[in-house]
Amino acid sequence: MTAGKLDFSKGTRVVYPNQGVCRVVGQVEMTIGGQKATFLKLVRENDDGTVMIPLAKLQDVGVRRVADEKEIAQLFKQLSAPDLGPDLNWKTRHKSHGERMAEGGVFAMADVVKELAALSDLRPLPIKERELYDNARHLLVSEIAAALGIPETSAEDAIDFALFPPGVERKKLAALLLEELAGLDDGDLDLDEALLEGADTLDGLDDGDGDGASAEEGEGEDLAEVDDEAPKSKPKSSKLSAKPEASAKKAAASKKPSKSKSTPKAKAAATETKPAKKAPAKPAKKAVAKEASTTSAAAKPAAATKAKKAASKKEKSS
Amino acid sequence: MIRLVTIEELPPAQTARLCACLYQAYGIGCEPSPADLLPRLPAKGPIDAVAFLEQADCAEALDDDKVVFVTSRPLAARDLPSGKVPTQSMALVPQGRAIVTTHGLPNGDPDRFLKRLAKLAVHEVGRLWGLHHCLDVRCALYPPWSPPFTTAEQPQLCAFCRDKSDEKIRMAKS
Repeated sequence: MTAGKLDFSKGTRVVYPNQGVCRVVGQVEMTIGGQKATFLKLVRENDDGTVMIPLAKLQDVGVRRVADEKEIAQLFKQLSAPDLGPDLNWKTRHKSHGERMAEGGVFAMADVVKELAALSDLRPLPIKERELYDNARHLLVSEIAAALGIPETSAEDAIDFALFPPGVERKKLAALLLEELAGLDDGDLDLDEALLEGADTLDGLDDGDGDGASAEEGEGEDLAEVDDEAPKSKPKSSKLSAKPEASAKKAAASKKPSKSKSTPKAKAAATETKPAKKAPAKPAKKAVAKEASTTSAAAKPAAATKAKKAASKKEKSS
Repeated sequence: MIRLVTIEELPPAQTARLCACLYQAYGIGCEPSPADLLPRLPAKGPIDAVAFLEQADCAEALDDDKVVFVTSRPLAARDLPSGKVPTQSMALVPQGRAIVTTHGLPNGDPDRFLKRLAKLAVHEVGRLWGLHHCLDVRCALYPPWSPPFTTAEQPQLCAFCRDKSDEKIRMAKS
């Protein structure tokens, strides 16, 4: 029998995706769940395992004929072609490899093998990808051996001779790729702008770390409250601008302790430089704290004179 | 069991050490066997490894035994679709036989000579167990024509290949 251009007569070799080269044994009628169905019976050449496929699903499963010599020649050209480098995003890589393996085409498998071999130049493969590499390689080797009628070990040598030609050290390829990556600027790497802004913010924090860290610890709650209202797009500017203002206010408070309670002035000064509501909150607290300290300092001379007077009275009485 | 058949004379001490290396790598027994069922070899020139392995046999070998032939004669390079592949060793998986040549190994230092020979033998026995070439440059299953195979001389398997071979051997025993 045939399905499309495929011939499923007894003894024909076909490739079942993800299972490898199989030999057609014949058709079998079976009753499953009270329903009669005709299955195509295949035997895996690798381990003599039996595979049964309902005839109605032959096309969907993706059973295909073994690649011919022309395709194999093209395959080796593909394997020995210069490598464009592996996909470094594991999510897209994992997805595309899964799709290619499910598709089961010989070129797709070769792509998976080549890409994972290139990736292994950069770093050791994680165990799942190593398993995938081994499976893809096994399927590729068995199909090439079946197509060319050569031993599997020779088919594997042919693949590796194309992938790792003699005299070429693989680590050099990795070094070249890393150099290329190092030569790219941020725009070439397609980094997210928000991510870059975040990185700037971190840099800014590191730079302005001089006195701020301890001062800001106690104001965490205030910052959290203000963050909800303030625009979140520019955290860097709000943080960085708050510190100079706060120090300016401290200076102002120390100069004019009596007027330091009139925070509207300070607020106005703050609003001139930045629109965020976050900044005024900080200096206001600091100003109050400073004010308290200055008022207590102002009260100190009066108390001292009182004490002196009391002492002199005591001396007189004694 | 791994059977070691030396086609030409190899000092008994070296044969014993080679057996020890194979035992160490796979954890299954290895012993020398007589070369009694060999095909007629050409008088001169390299040996065609595939043709040799298809005909050669070992009388003592059982069905699931792996037989490794050791020769000092060169093996002919193979014409494969990707080029002419130099051959220092070869294995035929269905027959369970492999051949390794000492031709081209460093003769001056016996220790290096034995390590390189053992690495080739470990490589081919691994392939007889159904393992594939490895990506780890220190592994004995790395492609033998590549530079790291000759520079890293220890005949050892990487963790992945060791696990795989253990699994295959366990399956074969059961």
